[in-house]
Amino acid sequence: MITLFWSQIKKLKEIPASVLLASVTILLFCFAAITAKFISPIDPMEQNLFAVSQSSSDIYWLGTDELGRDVFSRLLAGSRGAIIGPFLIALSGLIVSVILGILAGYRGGALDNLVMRGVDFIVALPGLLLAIVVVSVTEGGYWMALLVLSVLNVQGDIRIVRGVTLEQRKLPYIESLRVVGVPRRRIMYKHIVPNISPILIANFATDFAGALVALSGLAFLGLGSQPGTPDWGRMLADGQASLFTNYWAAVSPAIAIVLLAVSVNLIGDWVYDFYTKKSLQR
Amino acid sequence: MINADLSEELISLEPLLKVSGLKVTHFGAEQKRTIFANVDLIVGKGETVGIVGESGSGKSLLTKTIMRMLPTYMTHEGKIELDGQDISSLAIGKVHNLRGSQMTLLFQDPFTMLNPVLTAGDHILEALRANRKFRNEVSKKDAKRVVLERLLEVGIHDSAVASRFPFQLSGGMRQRIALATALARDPKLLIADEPSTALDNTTQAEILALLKKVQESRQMGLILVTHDLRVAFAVCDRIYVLYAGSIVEVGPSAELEKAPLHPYTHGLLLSEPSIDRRIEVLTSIPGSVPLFDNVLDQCAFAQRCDWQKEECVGSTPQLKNVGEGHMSSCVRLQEIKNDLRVDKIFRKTSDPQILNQPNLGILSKLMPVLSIENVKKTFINSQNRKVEAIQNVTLEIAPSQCVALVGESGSGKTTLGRCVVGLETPTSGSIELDGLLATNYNSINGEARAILRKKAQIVFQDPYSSLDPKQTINNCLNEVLQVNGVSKNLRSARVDVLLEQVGLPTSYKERLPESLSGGERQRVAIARALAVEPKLIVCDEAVSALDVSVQSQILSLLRKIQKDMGISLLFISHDLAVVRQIADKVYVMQNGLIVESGDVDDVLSRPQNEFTRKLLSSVPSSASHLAEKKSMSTSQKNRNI
Repeated sequence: MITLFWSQIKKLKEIPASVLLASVTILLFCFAAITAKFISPIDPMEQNLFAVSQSSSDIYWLGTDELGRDVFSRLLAGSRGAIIGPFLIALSGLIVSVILGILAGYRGGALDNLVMRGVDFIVALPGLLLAIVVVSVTEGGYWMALLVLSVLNVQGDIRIVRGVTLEQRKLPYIESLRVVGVPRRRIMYKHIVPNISPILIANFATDFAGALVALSGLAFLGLGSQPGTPDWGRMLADGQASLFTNYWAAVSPAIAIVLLAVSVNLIGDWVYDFYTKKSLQR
Repeated sequence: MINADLSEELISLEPLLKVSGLKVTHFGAEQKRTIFANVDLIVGKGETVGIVGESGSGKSLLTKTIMRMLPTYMTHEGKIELDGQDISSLAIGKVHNLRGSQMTLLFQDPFTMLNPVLTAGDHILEALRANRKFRNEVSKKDAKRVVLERLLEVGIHDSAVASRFPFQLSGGMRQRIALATALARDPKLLIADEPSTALDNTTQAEILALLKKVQESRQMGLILVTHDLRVAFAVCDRIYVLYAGSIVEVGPSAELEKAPLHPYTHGLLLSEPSIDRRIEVLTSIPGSVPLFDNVLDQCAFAQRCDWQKEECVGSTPQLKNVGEGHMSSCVRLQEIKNDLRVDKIFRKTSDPQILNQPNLGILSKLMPVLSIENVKKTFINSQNRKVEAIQNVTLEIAPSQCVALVGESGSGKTTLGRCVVGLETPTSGSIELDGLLATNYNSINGEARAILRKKAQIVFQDPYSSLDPKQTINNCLNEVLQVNGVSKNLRSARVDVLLEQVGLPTSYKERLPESLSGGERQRVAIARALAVEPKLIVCDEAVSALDVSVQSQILSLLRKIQKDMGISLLFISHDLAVVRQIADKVYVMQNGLIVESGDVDDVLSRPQNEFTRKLLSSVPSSASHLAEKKSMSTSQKNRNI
């Protein structure tokens, strides 16, 4: 038991400090997202009109915004939406691309054509502009924004997965499996998926970071989440009003967005490097 | 390490390159690892020296160390003297000035060596212009003339080649351009790292002859790095044999060929398949090359040596003088000297004509396992042009027969093999497998296809990509058994049997491919093919990517499978010596057509077709063999007249 624990510690040593730091950051954000209700010192929706745009103090750690709401509490409450939204977008991209990308790459032919023309269609759409129009016209709010961004995001994933599938398909081990008579579905999901998994993970991380920035961008423009909800993008926009009295109101959500996006990317990159390095060893 | 005086004795020539006590260490993420150590090497002016070793021996890194081109995670210790100047500790900027002008390196792969956006002439010009004097003094017009002269030197007479891009040139042409580029600044030392390995046999012979010619006319030093003893014997004056990071034997190539004085060289020579005769029991060295650090304080070869005794593992053996210019590190040399003579061993084998003569009379009466009739295969290439990979091929394989398909790359032999197992569909013609129509695997229903899949299997060339890297050996074999309907309780026992059949211990079951050597992976690939209990196995260059010592292990295994289990083999290869060892019948393929076919002895000893003769004559061989071959071909001509 002790030796097992020791070997775990030893393994930790091999992980670069930046990745450890990134993991801690993400864990902290997750912790905040789960426990925001209980740990936030002040209700994030409570307005204190006697303490508008205050700079940081003992009561308001990061000061207050122009409506007298506690910036720190709102930051904690906002982490929930900042994690769940991008996670769902990246996850949908992962699932759809694993199904359609591998199918298109492995089967080829008419199916490949159909999927790829669909992808081309999405690529041809003016991304964020479309998101702005759709979200504002439908007044769909946060979930509508997620849906639109998911659809826009999926095309890149499908292309990448299809590409690496084509690569794997040509390898002798896949051809051997075909000759031996292993069913197609089994080759696709038992053999190709594990072998392209480093790319899937790295892709997931990039998607997450991209979706976080896109979602925050929409919220910054006043789309997506309802006015008043604690959302990092919205806080960034609202905080501008009190930029000269309490710059933390705008700077702190910005830092949070960058920190989370960078952390996720760092981990994704490291996982990718770790697995590809291993599989490259002959 | 040998002392300086001793190494001076090796050659009578003035030394050009002197390497002493060279050691290279790799600093990996987890641990540091020695690649090679105590390497002493001497190259005289105008001398050709061969460095021979299997993969993992450190030969390529040795050349990179001499060029001072080690990657940053490797360091070197020891002395490298080039023309009297110590370059081992020279600043990298100064070494840069020496590269190209004093020493130069020619790589293996002619397809990635050249810059795809520069023309052939540009490559040479670029190298010429690295010389400031040339830049300042030679006009553009003259430079063009110089480029053409340089092309002429490497045997390119067509001046239009200078304006062609690499993708418009063949592999041999590219290697010539690369050579001209390397020679542009008239270096004193040329290091060629497997310059002919990626090329076809016929082109290989041309490039080797060219290298030798250029070396002689320029009187420059040449180091030829190769895994192929035949290549080294054909070109080199002296040969260094490198094994697991140590030099085990040094000697003149003629002597090394006849009387090797180290068991490893002996083993290598014997595992080298012979083109002239079939050897009944192929000698092979068991196991594979160890890591340098795993064989410290002992003879690196001890684990695989037939003559191993306690004194071999006590301490690191040193190179000792054993003859004029001949050194060996074997500690038991005096006792085993007589056993090592190669000519004696060759004599031991019985007459090749009688030996292994397949009884074709009986075989041909049985129903063929594979019969290919008038098969054609046309591809549409990226420019929408039709390419006829197979023009018209008819071929038959009897049960338990090994038929070889030989030819150069692009001859269509691989495509034919892929058609047989259903990876490609022929454009026209018919393929019958064991009486079943197997022309188009896609046009039949799943059940029929499953039956067909049990008839023929394939083993590929590259052992490293032939297995799913994420799957253990057990899972790999189990899966094949499962899809072929072997019930669950029988599978485990069947896997054990399969591993035993291919000569792997059952303890390998839980291993991942990454922990296996090339030869072991190829064994697993064969086991996977056997799991289906096929009638025919297509071996697509199955032994070409393996080291010689391992190659003969796999060849022996394939022979055993063919003889004992009665499985037919379609053996696709470019290596005629290997074909001689395994095939009963040979089909020679050129540009998608069968140009000659027949019994292996008839085709390889008495070739009728011009192309077959060209293939045979381009197999590299030493001077003594060459003489034999010349007399053979003249007698051939006489007969034709």
